[in-house]
Amino acid sequence: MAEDKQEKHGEFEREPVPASKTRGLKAFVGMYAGEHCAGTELMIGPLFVAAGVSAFDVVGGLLLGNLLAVLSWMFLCAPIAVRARLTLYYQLEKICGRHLVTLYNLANGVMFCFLAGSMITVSATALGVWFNFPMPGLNDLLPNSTGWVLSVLAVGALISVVAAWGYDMVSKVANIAAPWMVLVFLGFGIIGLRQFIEATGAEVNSLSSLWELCKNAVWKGGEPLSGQVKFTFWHVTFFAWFCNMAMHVGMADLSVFRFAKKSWHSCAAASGMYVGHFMAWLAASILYALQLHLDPANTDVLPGPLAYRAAGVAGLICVIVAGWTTANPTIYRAGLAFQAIMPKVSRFKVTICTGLLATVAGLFPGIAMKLLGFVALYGLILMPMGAVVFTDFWIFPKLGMQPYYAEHKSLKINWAAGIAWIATLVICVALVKSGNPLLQLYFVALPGWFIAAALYIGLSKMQQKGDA
Amino acid sequence: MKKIFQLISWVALVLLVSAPALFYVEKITLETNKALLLAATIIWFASALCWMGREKESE
Repeated sequence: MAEDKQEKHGEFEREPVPASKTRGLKAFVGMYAGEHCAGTELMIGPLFVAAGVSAFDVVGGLLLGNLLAVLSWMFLCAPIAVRARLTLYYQLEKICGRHLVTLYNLANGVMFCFLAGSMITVSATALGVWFNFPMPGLNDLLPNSTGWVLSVLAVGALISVVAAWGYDMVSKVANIAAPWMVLVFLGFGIIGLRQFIEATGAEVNSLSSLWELCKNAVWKGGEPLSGQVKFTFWHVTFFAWFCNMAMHVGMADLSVFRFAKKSWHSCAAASGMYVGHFMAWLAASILYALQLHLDPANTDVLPGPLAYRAAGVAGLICVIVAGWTTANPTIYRAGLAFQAIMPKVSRFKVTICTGLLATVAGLFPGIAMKLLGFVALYGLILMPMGAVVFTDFWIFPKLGMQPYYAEHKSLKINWAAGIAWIATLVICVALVKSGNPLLQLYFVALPGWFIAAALYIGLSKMQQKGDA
Repeated sequence: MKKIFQLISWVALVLLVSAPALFYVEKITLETNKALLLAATIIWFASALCWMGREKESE
């Protein structure tokens, strides 16, 4: 699946995808189901429990949030993708100019590195089970043992070398592992539930008694663990909606859906959302809730031990493979983003350096342990460019304004888009810092999108006034 | 030959689902469940490697 995606990235980079190369719904279903069942799912599910979610909030919030994410792909990203049939980067270059795209690539590459770092962290927790070294706790920001450092370095170095050398091989392993991994995640949930029934002595013989168990023992709600933000229904909804914000609202998946025969084929994203971001998150959260139930003092979010307790060695293999196969394309993509900035440096060198950067990020458990906040931040940083693309494509022609302004004027940088991006981020940070609970990091991207769109329209009007 | 490997892969996937399900209904112990999951994992990778990549190459 990652391989398919990569092939696509390498084709038609500066021209529209021809009709003969478009694909049907089925091609995207497998791609999304595999891509969104990743190592980080094993962190996110437990972090929901640490954030004190209740059963209704987590189940209802995920159902709604994932639906909104799918609709964002279907109604924001895909309609532009199938009309323009261009990569995000080329479309941005036409709108914003080459220099601004370089800055976007830099931001994208750095965020990819941190994301890959957290995947390396996840894989390293599996080695901790085998070698029994002290592993970081929920509130640890820095590495806490030599064993941890060596473990992350080993995993990171291996992933980096493979990403630089054997990308195709790992892509094949990722494709083969995907159906197996999905079922192991499902197994985590089923096994965790049985263990819960045994630990609580609950009688579960119907759906309503299962729901009672979920409400009273698994996702009990209440106060979050120390150092965590309390998650309500709306937190879960917005998190599920915006955790892939860079891809749908941020338009990164223009590069994927430019190959779709029809715009509605983007509904394939539902496979990733409801397999990875519903089933896998819930399954992983059940394992963590069980750990807390058995020992409330053990608040460590460590996918390795969690998976091992439920599924033994197969669980550990799942943690390693899930982290490895998803960190690998992430490092590769970050490398591509950096290589666009330094085109003369070889891809091998760039990917190795990117992998090392990701490994250094992986050493710091603070990134993985604060993954909920990091993922929200990742989407927020790239979101304004999605608003710029949307506005430029749909609204500018209606207002009689010039779309693809940088291309039209042969500009290296379209300052209207640049200011809209940076100013939106500054405003969003100020809103978050205001302390208003309605403007927390998890929610602020929604008003942020409208701010970015309004700023881009207003600034472009000023910019284009002299052209008329 | 490919069909045989595909069949074995399907058996591995069925085992991956049935082991946790059997544990849930208390037909097997946790240790047996773990052993079955490991067996299914080995069978899946061994058999899928023989046809999944090749299927794409032949396309």
